[in-house]
This record gives sequence, C-alpha cells and structure tokens, in this order.
Amino acid sequence: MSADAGVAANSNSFSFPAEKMRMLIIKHPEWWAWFLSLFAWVLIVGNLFTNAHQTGHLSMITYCTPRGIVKVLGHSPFELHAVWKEEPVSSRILTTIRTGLLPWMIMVVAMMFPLLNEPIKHVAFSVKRKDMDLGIGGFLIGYIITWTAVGVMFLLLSFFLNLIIGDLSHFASALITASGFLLAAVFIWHPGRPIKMTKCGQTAPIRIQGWHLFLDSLFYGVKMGFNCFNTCWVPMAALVLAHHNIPLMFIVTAVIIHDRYLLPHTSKFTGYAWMVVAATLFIIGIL
Amino acid sequence: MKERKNVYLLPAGDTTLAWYSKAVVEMKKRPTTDPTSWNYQAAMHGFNASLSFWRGAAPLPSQTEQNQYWNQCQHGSWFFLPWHRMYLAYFEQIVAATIVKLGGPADWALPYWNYSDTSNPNARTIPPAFTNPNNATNGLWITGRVSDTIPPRYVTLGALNTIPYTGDGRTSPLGFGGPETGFSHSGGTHGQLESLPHDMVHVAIGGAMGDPRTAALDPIFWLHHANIDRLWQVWLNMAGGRINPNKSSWLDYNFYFHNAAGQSAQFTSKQVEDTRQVLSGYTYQGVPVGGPTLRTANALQNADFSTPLEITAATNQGVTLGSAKTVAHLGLNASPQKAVNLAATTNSAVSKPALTILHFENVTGKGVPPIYDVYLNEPQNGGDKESYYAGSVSFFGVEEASTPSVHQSGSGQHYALDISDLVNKLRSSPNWKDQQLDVSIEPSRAVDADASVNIGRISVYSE
Ligand SMILES: [Cu+2]
Repeated sequence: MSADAGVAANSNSFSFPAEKMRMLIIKHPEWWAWFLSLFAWVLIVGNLFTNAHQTGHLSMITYCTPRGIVKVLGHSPFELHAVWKEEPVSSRILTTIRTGLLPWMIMVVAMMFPLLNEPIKHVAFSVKRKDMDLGIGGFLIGYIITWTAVGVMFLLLSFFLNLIIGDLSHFASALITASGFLLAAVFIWHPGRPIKMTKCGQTAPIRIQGWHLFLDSLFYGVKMGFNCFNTCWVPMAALVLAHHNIPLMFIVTAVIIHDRYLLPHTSKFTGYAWMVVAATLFIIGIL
Repeated sequence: MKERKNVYLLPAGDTTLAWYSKAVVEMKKRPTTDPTSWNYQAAMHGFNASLSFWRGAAPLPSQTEQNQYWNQCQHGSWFFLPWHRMYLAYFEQIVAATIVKLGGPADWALPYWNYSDTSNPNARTIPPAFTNPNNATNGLWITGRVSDTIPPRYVTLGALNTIPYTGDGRTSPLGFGGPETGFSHSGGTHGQLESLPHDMVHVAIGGAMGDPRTAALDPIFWLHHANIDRLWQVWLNMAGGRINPNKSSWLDYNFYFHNAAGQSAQFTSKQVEDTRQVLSGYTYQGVPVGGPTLRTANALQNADFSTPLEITAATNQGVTLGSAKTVAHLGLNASPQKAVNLAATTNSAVSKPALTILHFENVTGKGVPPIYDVYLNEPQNGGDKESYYAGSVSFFGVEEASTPSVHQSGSGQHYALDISDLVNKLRSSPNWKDQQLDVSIEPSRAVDADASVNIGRISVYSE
C-alpha cells in the first residue's frame, strides 16, 4: 500500500474548506434527524406564539399550548366541549386518537430523534453512499411506527382514565404528573435499567441488496424504537399527563440527551434530575 | 521509577517470577470480596458465575459493587489501551505490596512477554515458570490451557504500521487503538493491535485465557498485557503521525479501580498517557519514553475530514462457521442487475492502490471458538494457499458479546482485516472476477462441541 499517495491526496483536499465541510456532512449523517427534530420544535414553539390565546380547540394547538408555566396542567381537550360527553364513546375514542396522534408524533420527533446518532450512523455506513438516505429514511419510519403504536396506547389509556376517574382537580393532576416523574426517578435505580440502556447501542446487519436494504433498515428502526420506549416510557407517559407542556418537554429533552451522550450508563444523575422535576411540579401544583 | 523487564531476558537467579508466584498464592487466599484478592482483580476484567473457572468464588460483593467495578474491560474501543494500562498499574501495585508483606523486595515490577521477538527461538512459548510444575503448587500455573506455544502468524506486528490511533474501517481507515466509542465492554471494531496479536494470543492459549470473563485468572494474562501496553509506547516512538486521540471524550473518561490499600481509585486516559506518570511510574526495558509528541493540540484531527470508505460488497445472509471450511461468496446472491460488484475496488484507472477492508459484523456465538484463518479466492484444487491468506479472526469474548447485559448490547462483535495488499495482488491474476470475491474461513484447530460462531454479515469496504 502506498501510504504517501494517500497522505498527499488527503492534504490536498484539506486546503478547501468546502471539501472539509462536505466530508463533515458525509461523516455525520445524523444531521438529518437533528434537522427534523429542530423542525418539530419550530412547529411546537410556533404554535405557542400564534395560538397563545386560542385554547379549547380539539387540535394540536390545544395539546401543545402550555397555558402558562404556573398552571402546569390544563384539562384534557375532550373535557372542554360541553357537547363532548353526549357523544358515543366510540366516536370520542376516534376523535381522541385523531386529534392526539399528530401532536404526539411531533413530540416524538422533537424529543427522540436527537438520541439516534449511533443507530443512524450504523445504517448510513452499512450501505452504499447513494443509498444512505433510503436507509436512514427506512430506519426513521420504522422508529416512528413503534412510537405511533405507543402513542395510540397512551391516548387510549388517558382517555379511559378520564372516563373512569372523571375530571381531576389541578392539584390532583399535578400530583399524578409529579408521581410520574418520581416513578421515572425510581426506575433509574432499578437493577434492570443499565441493561436497557446498553440496548440503545444495539446494531443489526443491514443487507445492501435491493428492497432488503429498506426493509432491514425499517425493522432495525422498529426494534430501536422499542428499545427507546423501554428506557424512556415513564417520563414520556408523564409528559402526556402534563398535556405536552412545552417548557417541561424542553427540560425532559435536555435531560435525556444529556443522559444518552454525556453520562456513563451506570450513572444515577438522571434519577436526581427527575426528582427535581417531580418536586417542582408538586410545588407548582400546591400553589 | 520501575522498569518492566522482558521475561526472557531476566538473568539467571532472578527472583521476579518466584515472588510473583508467591504473591499469586497469597492473593488467592484472600476472599473474593477483598478488592486486592486474586479473584476480585480478575473479575474486574470479566466475571460470570456460571463458568467453571469461577467455581468456589462465592461469597461475592454486592451487585451494586459488581456493576461499578467488575466486568469493566474495554474491548472493541479506543479505551482498550488506556483501560488495560490503568488495570495493570493497580494490579502491579497490589502484587508489589503483597510481596513486601511476604518479606520480598520493595521494587517488584511486572515483567512482559514478548512473543513476537524473532531473535529468541522460545519467544512464542509461555515462559517455563508458568507451566512447570504443572500443578497447583505452582502459583503461575492454571488448568485448562489448550496450547503453550503460539503459531508464528498470530504474533506478527503489522499493527504497528497503522498510523491513526482511532478508526473503524468504515467511516475512516482502521485504527491502531480502536474506534471512538463510549464505555465499551464489546461491540465496536477491534483495533489493529487488539486484533493481532492481542486477541490471537488469548485464544491460542485458550482455557481461561480464551474468554475475557476468565482471562485474568491466568497469571500469564498480566505478562501478555504488559507486552501489549509496551507496544503502545513502541508505536508512539515510531512517530510519523502516530499520536494519541485528543478528544476530551477519550482524554477525560473516568474508570474505577482499587489501589493496594483496597480503596477506590480512579484514572482517566490523560493521566496514563506517559508511563512515567502512572502511579510511581514505569518504563519498559529497551523502550525509550518521552520522545515524540503524544498528541496534537487541534481539536479535530485529519481523520475527521478524511473520506469515509464505502461498502462495495456484502453477503445477503448470515454465515455460520463450523468445524469445516466455510466459503462465503460476496456479491453473488444479488440479482444480476443489482449485483454489487467489486469494480470500484479494482478500478485500474485509480493510480494508487485502493484501501480495501474485509469486515465481519454482528458476530455472535457460544463457548471459546478457535482462531479462524481467512483466505480470498482460494483455488479449489488446493496448492499453495498461503498466497491467498488474508488474515485471521479470533472471536475473543464472542459469547459474552452475544448476550445483552449491564455492559454490552448483545449485538455481537465486529472484526476487520486490511486486505488491500492481497486484493491488489489478486486482481492481476487471470482468475479475478469483478463480480465475486470468495471468502474462505477455516478453523485453525478442532472446534469444541459447545462452541459456535455466526457472522451477521461479511462485507468489503473500499476507498
Ligand atoms: Cu486481553
């Protein structure tokens, strides 16, 4: 092997910043997912400003409006219509899912996509460069499929809870959400938690032949979606209880990104973070 | 400052190994819960209660303590070299303190085993003190070693020619030290020095040494790793762009150990880059330190901008290795229109020979499989197969890497061989086909009944 030739070719390309830039982009295909996440955040925050005064609509706006940080928990959207309770349960379920799923998916893209650096790189560099986007696309679709199923499950759960328990006082809802984060904290100390965390680093062989490429990437996405659900479902469920409160969403995202990339997998730091969140929600609930 | 000496150059009448043996016997008497015990020290590298070598180890420390201190060895990672250096440093301190307690000399240092020394005809054989007498009265002996001598091809030092420290053979050329990872008990591409000779020596000796969860129970483990640690300095001394990583994620990552007093202690990679600064400091006999720069000041190294390699062929199904030769045909199974061809690899218009790397991905398995030798386009009629030899893979730690645990994802191991020279040679042969590369994988010795290997995908990456 002629090492000299390699060095010469490399140092040549280094003199062009554009070429350097291109290499950085090729080497970091995860920018794709971060970009989508950023877009989702723009949608969420955009809604916050344009619809700050419109509450009470069965839309994503209702779900994603914080209604003030102090009043952490609003009513669920289906409580807000007087006629709502006159409708048959089946149509109310459909409406809940129809209106709740989109905000849920936007929340998943905003919060979960930044956690996918490693699996995205795995897919991207398992296939030919021209197929990179196809592979990453398949992976993200698979990942979304899992979280969509989870979203339907969560929405049904919160619907039936509402049906059984009825409307909760602000204090009671705050207490429930705070307990959700307390539970998330307890899970950090669960002996099974580090194993779940290491599974976030799983890889799978991707075939590069024809449609196998897309399907293998997609199934890998489904599997990684499940692994992420396994580690993140408690804080995510607590967020649904808090009706996607935006400042809270932002804090939770920061905590899980920090946990994923900057902490050793046996660290308990995130447990303390969830405790602080739970305590804050509890205090806000009392006020 | 201690000097770690070549075990084969110890003068007649030297007591280094005699004291080591006495210290091993003494450390074995300590309970497994004692961080300075033989069992505890070995379990820090790897532990599994179901393996026969660990029979009688109980009572064990708490699960929390085990999660923090046991099964910590770093493999398939750029932490492979610094972690083992830290591990050896505290082990050496514990053994030396034990020897002092037993009335021995104050300056005991761990010797190293240079199996690659071609000037010594016995170099590839485990030093006699470890095998004779071959019973429990000898602190340096352990039951179950499969072989006392390593075949020559498994101790070659081609790894020293690798310039970058970091690399995975996919997004960048292969690295001497391993790929950039977080805490990695297994999973990433094994670094060049780690693959050969490190992994090979482990598996060739076999028995306890063949599995990371028992390897450090064999007293020869520590002399083997002293040699690997020495080769890191030898590589740095060769200069020519050989420098350590300069990212904070490597320099500042913290690992946990125990010192000779049994107290918890920590090390970062940055703290062990210069061997003279590690605990009381040490050097290796015949290896100068402090010459060339350890690393550059730039945050980003050239590797961050180099063109990533691109996949040119891959199997479209897993490959199971058995006791006979297995042949995988790369690029054959795709439909003719979509055949992934090796033209990119073999494009004669390219003036410089392309870098070509053969990958074994998501390797899972059971037991301690033998070393497998890999040949490319090996002729059916036999003949001189050595000219088709591409390298070997050892699957050191494959069973552990196949099970999800606190320390690894369970997706298996990843090995890579640089086959550039062989491919460049083969493509000038009349039998070369751009559409097909035959990869033959042969066990180097009989396969144990309880051992198996499955490779998730075999692939070829080129520049
Ligand atoms: Cu080792």
